[in-house]
Amino acid sequence: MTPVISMKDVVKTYGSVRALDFFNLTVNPGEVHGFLGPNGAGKTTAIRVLLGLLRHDSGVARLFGGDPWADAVELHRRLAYVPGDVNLWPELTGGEAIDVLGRLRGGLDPKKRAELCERFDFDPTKKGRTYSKGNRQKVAIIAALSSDVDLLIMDEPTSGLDPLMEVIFQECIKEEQAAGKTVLLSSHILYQVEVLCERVTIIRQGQTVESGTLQELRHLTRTSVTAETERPAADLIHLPGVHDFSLDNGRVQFDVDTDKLGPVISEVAALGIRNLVSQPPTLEQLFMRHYGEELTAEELAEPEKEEVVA
Amino acid sequence: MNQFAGTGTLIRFILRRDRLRLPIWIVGITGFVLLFASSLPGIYATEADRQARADLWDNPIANLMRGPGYGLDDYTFGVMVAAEILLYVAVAAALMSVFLIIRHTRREEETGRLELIRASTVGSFAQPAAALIVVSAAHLLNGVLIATLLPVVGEDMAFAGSLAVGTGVAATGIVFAGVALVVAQMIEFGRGAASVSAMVVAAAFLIRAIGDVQGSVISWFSPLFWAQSMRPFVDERWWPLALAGITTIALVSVAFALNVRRDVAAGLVRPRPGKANASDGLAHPVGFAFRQLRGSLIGWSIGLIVLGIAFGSTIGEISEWIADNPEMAEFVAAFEGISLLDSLIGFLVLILAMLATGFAIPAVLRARAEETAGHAEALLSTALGRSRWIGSYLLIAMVGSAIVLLLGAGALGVLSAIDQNDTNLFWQIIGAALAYVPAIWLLIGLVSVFFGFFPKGLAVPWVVLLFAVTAGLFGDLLNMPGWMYNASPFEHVPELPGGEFTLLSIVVLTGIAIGLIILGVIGFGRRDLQSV
Repeated sequence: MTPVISMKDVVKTYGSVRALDFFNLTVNPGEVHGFLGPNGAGKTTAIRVLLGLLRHDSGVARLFGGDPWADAVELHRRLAYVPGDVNLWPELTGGEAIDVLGRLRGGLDPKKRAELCERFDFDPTKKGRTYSKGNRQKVAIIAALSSDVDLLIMDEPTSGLDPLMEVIFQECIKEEQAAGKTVLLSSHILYQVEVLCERVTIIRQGQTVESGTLQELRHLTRTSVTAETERPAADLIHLPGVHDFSLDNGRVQFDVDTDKLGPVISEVAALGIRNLVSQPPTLEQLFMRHYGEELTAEELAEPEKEEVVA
Repeated sequence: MNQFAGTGTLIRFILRRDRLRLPIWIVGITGFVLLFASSLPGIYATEADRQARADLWDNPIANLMRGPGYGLDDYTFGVMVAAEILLYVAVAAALMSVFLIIRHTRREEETGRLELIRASTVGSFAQPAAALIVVSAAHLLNGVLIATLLPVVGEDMAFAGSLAVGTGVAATGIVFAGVALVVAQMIEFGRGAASVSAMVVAAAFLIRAIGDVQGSVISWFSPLFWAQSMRPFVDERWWPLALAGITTIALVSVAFALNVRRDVAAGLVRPRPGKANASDGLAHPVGFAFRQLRGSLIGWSIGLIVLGIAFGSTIGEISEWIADNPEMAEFVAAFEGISLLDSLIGFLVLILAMLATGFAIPAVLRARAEETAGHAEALLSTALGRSRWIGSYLLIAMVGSAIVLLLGAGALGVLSAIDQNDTNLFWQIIGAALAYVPAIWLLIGLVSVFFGFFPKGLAVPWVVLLFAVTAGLFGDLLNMPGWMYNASPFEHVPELPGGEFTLLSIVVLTGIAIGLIILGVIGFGRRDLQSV
């Protein structure tokens, strides 16, 4: 089975800045693939390389087995793209922009377009300049979803959408997946990726730091345990895989490596459990583990733009 | 006075943002005046040389293109500055106001940046007031530099005359700052506001052209006449400055009155709902680019038709003058090598061709604006290839500039043919215009190459056009050497009507132009897309 997207050791530099640094990404047909990373990690650069808008310096990038730079036009017939920050033409209406994008891609389904306008509560007769951020985002989402394509590339598509619209967006993506489409969903909204994606790739400073199913990644994470025991639990601190241990008035709290969870819980049980709360790892923690203590000042500053392109 | 709160801070902010732009305008305008004045004694060494030049220009053509020509009977270097270039220096000052004022008012509003500023402790008048103050101060500095330096670098230039030139240019600039400020309140988009303001400048040029040819009071309705009306170096009069002052106060009052009555980011016309669906043409790359350039194409077409009519209606005056002054006409014709009427028509068609380039260059640059705004990213991630996308803008620039030029030349041709009762003249004028099309395309090719390979250097084609205009308007006056002339594509076009038609030069120019255009498209296909 040929992957829909395959990037191997891709390097892209802007002068002395390495936006992608031997980056790897594989997306298989029919999967909704989460693409996670903090601001400025290189998500948008990777997507622009896939779209043939940027030429990478070295490594191999493949889209449907083709070259995203040389075969851009042919490949684009099979995909739709939703940028993270949709800029509309101030003089065109939202409806005109949807049609232009859809038809240049090779046509859109007017029935689906009308249905999506309805679902997203979108008025297509207003001029581009007068739309709010969320409504501008809807233009690109509606144009993409009403096209008949095999792949959807979405770069933080829901930024600016209200929670109600976000739920509708999630429904739409699930329908697309059910219809057999492949989706690459870049995000830093973790719960959205958790809800929609079976596999994720995490990028940081231009490098792939983790890639796999959520299941696989959870093995790498820690589960939080809070328990009250009949006998003192102080000795638990010496067990392998236990971290961030604290004991307060018979109430013990610690994190445990998920693959050591079984032996540790047996030990807790041996102390006599009065009360036990265990929380599964969330993607927040997954993120925190990769970036936790080492978030650079730059990443903390949360710049709006992904990369600086002059 | 709360409405002016924050003006001081905004003035400093504008000065910081324009720390390069403002000096370039000031050095450019002052430098041109000083360079021109200092080069005159070398070219026109004797009084006889100067007087010959004055006689050459004592006719309606000169009135049309250069102004009323006060003091031609004693053609000193000072009078030469006032009679030959002052009008164009005033136009440059007017355009400086238009671009700077719109940049700091409507453009700021359109991008939403003003919203951010107005949300702090800043009054509603602060932004327009700051822009007006900075631009006016720049014009005053310009005036002071001209007034003080002209007597130093020029020969026999009295301070009074220099002061009249300096204050006249500054006053013209400040009046048009007021015009742009009013337009900025009415038009929603920065691009449109700049176009409308520039059209006001063009209209002012035409009004004084008609007035100066007729020698009538009509000229007074154009602020571009006021600097020359001060008669620098002849017998200076200062009251036109008061006229400029009163006009500016009136314009600024109107602008502020409109400003308080409207919402931030709004124009005079309320936005109405548009079409929910795109037309078929819009979903085609050429149709899409045409939609964006349609307004500009219509504007330039109307502008050149009006100019063609204005030029054409002076043909009658000029042939009358030739009939009244046969010896003088013969003298001028002998100087030019072809008949006076032919030479005039050739010159007018050159002006039209240069203006048509004024449509062509921004038409291609629109693609660059689309790229940096991120619009191109959305379009190019569909099944639209890069060559077809940029090719659409290039195609419209090429065809559009030819249409604009032919419309202007057609208007000129019809009026000339009627006046001279000579149908042939119409076709001669159309032919002369067609001969300029490859030169315009050459500049489009230059833009294409810069877009494809050096998009940061896209100001260069403008510099080339500015140089070509200078060579076309002042080359003979400045005795420009041949190699400098050759740098302008417009000088490689056969001089029609009257001159010899050389197919070779047209073929070569067209070939180079198309080669450059294709080269640029190839370059764009190989570079990264640059968006924010």
